[in-house]
Amino acid sequence: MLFDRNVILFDEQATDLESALSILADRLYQAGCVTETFKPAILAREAQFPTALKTQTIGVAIPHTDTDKVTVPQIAFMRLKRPVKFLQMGDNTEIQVKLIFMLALKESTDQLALLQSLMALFQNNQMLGYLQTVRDKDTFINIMKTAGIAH
Amino acid sequence: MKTIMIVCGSGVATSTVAEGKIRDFLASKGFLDQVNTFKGTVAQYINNIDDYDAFVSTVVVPDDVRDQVINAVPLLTGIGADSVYEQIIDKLGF
Repeated sequence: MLFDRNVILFDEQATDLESALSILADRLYQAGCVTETFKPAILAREAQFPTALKTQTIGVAIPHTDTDKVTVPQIAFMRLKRPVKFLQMGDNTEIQVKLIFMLALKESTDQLALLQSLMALFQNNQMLGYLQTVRDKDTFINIMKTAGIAH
Repeated sequence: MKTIMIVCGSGVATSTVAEGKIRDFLASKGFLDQVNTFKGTVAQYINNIDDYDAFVSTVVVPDDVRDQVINAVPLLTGIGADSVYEQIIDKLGF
């Protein structure tokens, strides 16, 4: 199931983009969802093709890499205690990112519907508000279910 | 037939979302049956911009071709999406 409790992190302290991504990638590796090469690939990919998006209210990021480094499809979530600097997808402008959804997905039609639901979530200020204050993992998973991202 | 290429880093993630948005938009305007949409990686197609009527990217493209490429990120965030659709319609000549 997506959003395994071991890969949902609230108010994590990270000093920069690299440390934030490394914490999440390590969690996915420990959960048995990705290969050892996932973390370096995520970091290299973010440097080449930044994944942050500026919503109407906060900065979010959707780091991802090639599907061959994924063994079990999963999405990891991190809310940062203090935002860290990312670059925006498409134009490399600086964005302070507060929420990270690390995508470890396999190629499939499921992925499209899931990504579309995630983009819709980023356009929903009420849901983004919930994500900034949620304190327990069950509630978080329920929010993701309501958004059509988890089942 | 008009052609539009949509690229991202991998050719499978954000370009797929953008392609869906663009196809929905073209369908809503009644143009979809006049357009072939394609998607791929920026690395694979960045040297073939001229082969398509419109070229759209969710990732940064080199400075020397930036003015030939439509930035599709607003389709993902919803902020400024109308401007992207206007640029696409303009490039496709509708």
